[in-house]
Amino acid sequence: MGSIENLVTQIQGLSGSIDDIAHLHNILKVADESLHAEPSALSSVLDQVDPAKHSLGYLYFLEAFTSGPVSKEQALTLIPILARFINCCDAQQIRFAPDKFVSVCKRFKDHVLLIESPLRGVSPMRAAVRKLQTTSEHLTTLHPDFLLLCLLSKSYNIGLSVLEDDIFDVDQPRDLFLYCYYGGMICIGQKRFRKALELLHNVVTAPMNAINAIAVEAYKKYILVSLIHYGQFSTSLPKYASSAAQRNLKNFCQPYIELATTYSSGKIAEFKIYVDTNREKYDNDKNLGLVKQVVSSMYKHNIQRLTQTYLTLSLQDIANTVQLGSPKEAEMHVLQMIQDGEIFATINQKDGMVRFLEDPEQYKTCQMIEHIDSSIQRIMTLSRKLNAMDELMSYDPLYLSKVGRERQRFDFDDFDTVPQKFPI
Amino acid sequence: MHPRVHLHKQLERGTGWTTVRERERAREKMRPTPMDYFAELEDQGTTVAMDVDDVDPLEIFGGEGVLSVDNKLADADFFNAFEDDFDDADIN
Repeated sequence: MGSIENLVTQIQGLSGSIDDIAHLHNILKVADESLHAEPSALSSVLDQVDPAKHSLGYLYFLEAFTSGPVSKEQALTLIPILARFINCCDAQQIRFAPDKFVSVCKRFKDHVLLIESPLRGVSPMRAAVRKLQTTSEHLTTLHPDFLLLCLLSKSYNIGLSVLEDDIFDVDQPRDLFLYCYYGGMICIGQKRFRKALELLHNVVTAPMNAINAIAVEAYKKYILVSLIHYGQFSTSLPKYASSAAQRNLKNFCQPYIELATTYSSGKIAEFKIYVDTNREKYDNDKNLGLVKQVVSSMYKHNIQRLTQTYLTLSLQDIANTVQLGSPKEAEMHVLQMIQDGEIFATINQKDGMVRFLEDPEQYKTCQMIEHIDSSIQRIMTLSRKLNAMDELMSYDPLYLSKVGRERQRFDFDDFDTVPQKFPI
Repeated sequence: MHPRVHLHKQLERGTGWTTVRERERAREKMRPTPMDYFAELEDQGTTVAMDVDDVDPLEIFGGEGVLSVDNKLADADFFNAFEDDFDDADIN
């Protein structure tokens, strides 16, 4: 206990400047093993250290104190302590020991799940993500945990705030898979289908040597969201998708591929029969709700197709063509689509006629110009990033060593100034 | 063509000796095409893929790969036990 008291004194004295904190970190690393030897002795010590001012020291104590399995009752006690630390800790200090900070945050997530109260974890985990990130482009291992809590607590809006950041820097590939899959689900929950497709597409086309379960589930949702949003789906994957995905993904998603094929016929009655026949499979995957949205979307896309042929059409004709029960139902669908900006039309309730209009957008408003300008800026930033990444890759020893190993297989004419071997 | 990119393409091909003719064909393939910066992200069928070779992607992480290579699905233990919350009938 004497050595812990000394450690507390050192933490209180060395939490000022960056140099002091770096020195403190070396001391804590040496003391870490002894802290883990008697974690129960640390409970009284935590009160002597300020989580905001002495964040690094507090982190080491807290990490040792919370190691090991806990019961529900213990979790209830620990959760406010962990939440308070995460919310008020100094980001600069905890970045000296990111692994420990991640451990503490993951335990916090496990505890809130243990007591079945994911909502309690949302705000602290968002704070944790922001503190661990070096920049907003950095995907940390805490991002998926944060999104998981948002999904479980149905806090989709809060999850969206993190998803707006463009990610360029990833710690672990698994984090990217999970981030994009969970993120896709959050966007589906908010009906941001285009953004959902972007994220799910990233999972499906990410590099993988073996077929990945996350990619399989992402592909199922990708098919459904593609049908909802675009009214169509193509089974061909882009060239840059991995060969593992190209060869195997469809085999794991057959009921969904067949659903898309049936959808493409445009026949609602047949489609509904197919859905009912395979209901259990979609239900087991927890995708039945999304499949029902696909069914609803068929009416919508069939109505949209009418706007390409007709200038005016009666509600009765719309109901007959789209296989709705009555003109009233057709009116409800058309009204909703007008409200959502999916079609441009007016309804004359006197004679029950719908007039389809052209898109009034002239692309010359200030708002549109700003939108185009920001898109251009974004593309230019992306282009610069790609060039920088390309250049970095050209210096990468791993890449160069593989290139060097392949040297002897080339034709004499292909020889150039690249050295023959790159020893690693 | 930048020599590094050229070697990258040779590596992907993995066919051993490559003649000058094949190298010139490869150069033609790599000629940049104008990009449509304003195209919307369409569905998979109409997405403009990157102009790459029609071969297996370079496995830069080596033989073992990033994820475990079993006959089972990798990462099969990932958390996916969410309620089905996407049924609009609950809202309407």
